[in-house]
Order: sequence, then C-alpha cells, then structure tokens
Amino acid sequence: MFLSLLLLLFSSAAADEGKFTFLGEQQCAQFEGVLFDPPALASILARQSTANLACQARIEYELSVEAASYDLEIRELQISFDALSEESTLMITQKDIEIQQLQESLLRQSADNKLWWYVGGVATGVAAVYGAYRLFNE
Amino acid sequence: MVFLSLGIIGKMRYDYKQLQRAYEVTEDSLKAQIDGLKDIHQREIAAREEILNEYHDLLKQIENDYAESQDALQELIESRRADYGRQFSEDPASLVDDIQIMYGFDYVP
Repeated sequence: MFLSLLLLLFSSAAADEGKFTFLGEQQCAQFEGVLFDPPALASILARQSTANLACQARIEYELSVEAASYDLEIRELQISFDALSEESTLMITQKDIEIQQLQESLLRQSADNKLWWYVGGVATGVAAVYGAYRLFNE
Repeated sequence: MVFLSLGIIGKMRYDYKQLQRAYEVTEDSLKAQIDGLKDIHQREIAAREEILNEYHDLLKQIENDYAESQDALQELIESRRADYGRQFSEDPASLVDDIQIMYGFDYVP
C-alpha cells in the first residue's frame, strides 16, 4: 500500500514535477491527487532526506566487499607465485647438486679404452694358447 | 689367468659400484626434491588458510560495520520522521519549503 502510494507520488512527479496540498477535515482538493497523513508524509520525507546516506553506506559496503575479494585474490596469487618461485629454486639447486655429484661419479669411472681392452685380450689369448701349447707339449 | 680374471672382476665390481652410486645420487636428489616440494606445499596451504581466515574475518567486520551504519541510518530516519511530524503541525510553511526543495513540486494552497 505504502509502496503503491510512493509509486503514485513519483510517477506524478516524473510527469510534471507533481503537486501537493494539505487538506483539513471535510475539505475538498483543487485537483486529483493522493493525500498522505502526517506520519506517512514524515516517513516519505525522512527516507528521501536520508537516501543519499543510505546509498553512500551501501556503496561503501559493496566497495569494501569487492576490495576484500580482490585483495584475497591478489594475496592468493602472490602465495602461488612465491611457492612456484621456491619450487623453481629448489629444483634448480637440487639438479645442480645432482649434476655435480654425477660428474664426480663419472670422473671416478674407468676410462673407455676399447683399443687397450682389445689388444690386452688378444695378447692374453695368444699367451694362454702359447702357454698351454708349451705345457702340454712337454 | 686367475690373477687376470680377478683383476677384471674387481674392475667390473668397481664400475658397478660407481654406477650404483650414480643411481643413489639421483635417488637422493629426487628424495630431496620431494621433501622440499612437500614443505613448500604445506607452507603454501597454511598461508592460504591464513589469508582465507583473514578474509572471512574482514567480511564479518564489513557486515558488522554495514549493520551498524544501517542501525544509525534507521535511527536518523526515525528522528527525522519525528521532526517532520512536528513540523507538520508547528511550522507547515517550512515543511512546504522542504517538500519543494526535495521534490520540486509546486505548492497549491
């Protein structure tokens, strides 16, 4: 009911900025209109006069919620970045250590002397055959 | 022949040991990486939980502030309602001015 009265008031205001008057008991009005009793009028005026404050409070609330949400997002991204950065540093450090230790291990490995193994094998074979020939021939 | 065979076996065992050591080095490195990653992830999760809690606290604070501002606004509305009610009976002329300023309506006496 109150809302429909407000709607009537504001639709009238939009048309020709509206009119209003005060009526006493049994008094006729000069034009068609809506009559508000004093408490209703006081309520309409009070709400209108505080509309800016209400709007400001709502804007501040919404902005605060949005700011908190974006702040959370930024901090989460910062945490992800820090974690990934630490992971990257850890992996690089560990890989460096691994490479260094593998290089040390590789240096301790025997050299790959295929030619000497071949020559040594042939010489050993010849010596073994010759030794056996001499041993079993005597 | 025996000494030669022993020498070859000894060398093969030495090379095998070196190969095994290389595998151990890789294994140790991977274990260290896994431990490090676990530690990083635990700290990341803890940090995320912390900022999430802070976010929830902040939201509660914002809600409380808004509720307080709404209460204050409601009090102001009630106060102004009383003022306008008094104005209606005590000073209608200024009420007319207020309405004209507020809405731009024409007053028809």
